[in-house]
Amino acid sequence: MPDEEAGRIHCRLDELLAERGLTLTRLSELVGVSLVNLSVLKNDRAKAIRYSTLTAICDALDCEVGDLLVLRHG
Amino acid sequence: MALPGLAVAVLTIAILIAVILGALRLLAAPGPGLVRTVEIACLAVIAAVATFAAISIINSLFGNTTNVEVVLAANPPQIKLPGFSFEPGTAAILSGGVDRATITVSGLSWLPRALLAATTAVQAFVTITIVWTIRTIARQTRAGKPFDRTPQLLMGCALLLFAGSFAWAVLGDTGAYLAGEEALDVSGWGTDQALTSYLGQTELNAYDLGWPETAHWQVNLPMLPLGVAFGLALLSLVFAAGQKMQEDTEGLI
Repeated sequence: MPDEEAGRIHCRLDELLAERGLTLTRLSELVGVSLVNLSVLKNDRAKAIRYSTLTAICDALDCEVGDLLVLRHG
Repeated sequence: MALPGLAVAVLTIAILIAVILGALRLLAAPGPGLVRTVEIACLAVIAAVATFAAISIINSLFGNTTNVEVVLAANPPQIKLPGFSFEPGTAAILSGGVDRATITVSGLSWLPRALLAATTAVQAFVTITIVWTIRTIARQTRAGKPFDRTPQLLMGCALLLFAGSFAWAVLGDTGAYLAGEEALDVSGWGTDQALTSYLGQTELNAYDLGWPETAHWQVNLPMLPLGVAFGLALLSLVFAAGQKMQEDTEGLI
């Protein structure tokens, strides 16, 4: 997938963490992914995500994949 | 052994053991410590090679004496003296001969000096480049990007080592041949009338008396560096595959 297409995927991690009153550090402990990588994901700089990481984040935040990742149009 | 000599020997052995144990510890659990050690060791090696090469080059060009290894025509060692016969030792030499002489000479002309100095320069340049490449790869590894530029660096080293091996073989063997010709081509003439009358000649080449003779000009290609060059080229292909994988997984969470 070209980089400009991947750039249209927005990660709503900030919003979901705020709704649940969780910090990125706490999520890192729950999910077992480094703070740096979660920050990359949060700032839409990730180029690919493993299914195992997606599953762990959704379990920790009790959300669906579609709640976490949305496609920006235009 | 005198006490100071014994103390030095014990201290040297203790240091050697400490270094070996330290190296084994790093190798047994490779990690950031090993990478940092390699970086520092590379700098030390580069400094040492550059220093010794500079001294050797200056000495070859401007020194009073030059060390050179000359390839000889492998004649069996013998003394040819008319009117004398020599018994062999307890074991007789059936074949083979003395094929190399490592000599220190003075008064060499500029051409063999320049060729020997150029040989040292090429060897030092190739060595320093390879060690610098190892250091660069170590730094990249420490930065978490071991495959960045590594295939290109390794292939560059392979080509340099391949070409450099040929170059230093030609330069070094030619320089040594010329040095040998200048140092070993010895002839003389007799002044004792009775002896020259007995021999029937007044001039002799020292080779006629068993003096070592320089072999004809030849180039001995160093097989080990050439083999290592092919190994580095293969390694660059392996790292190219790793570079592709690194690109594919960059930004992978």
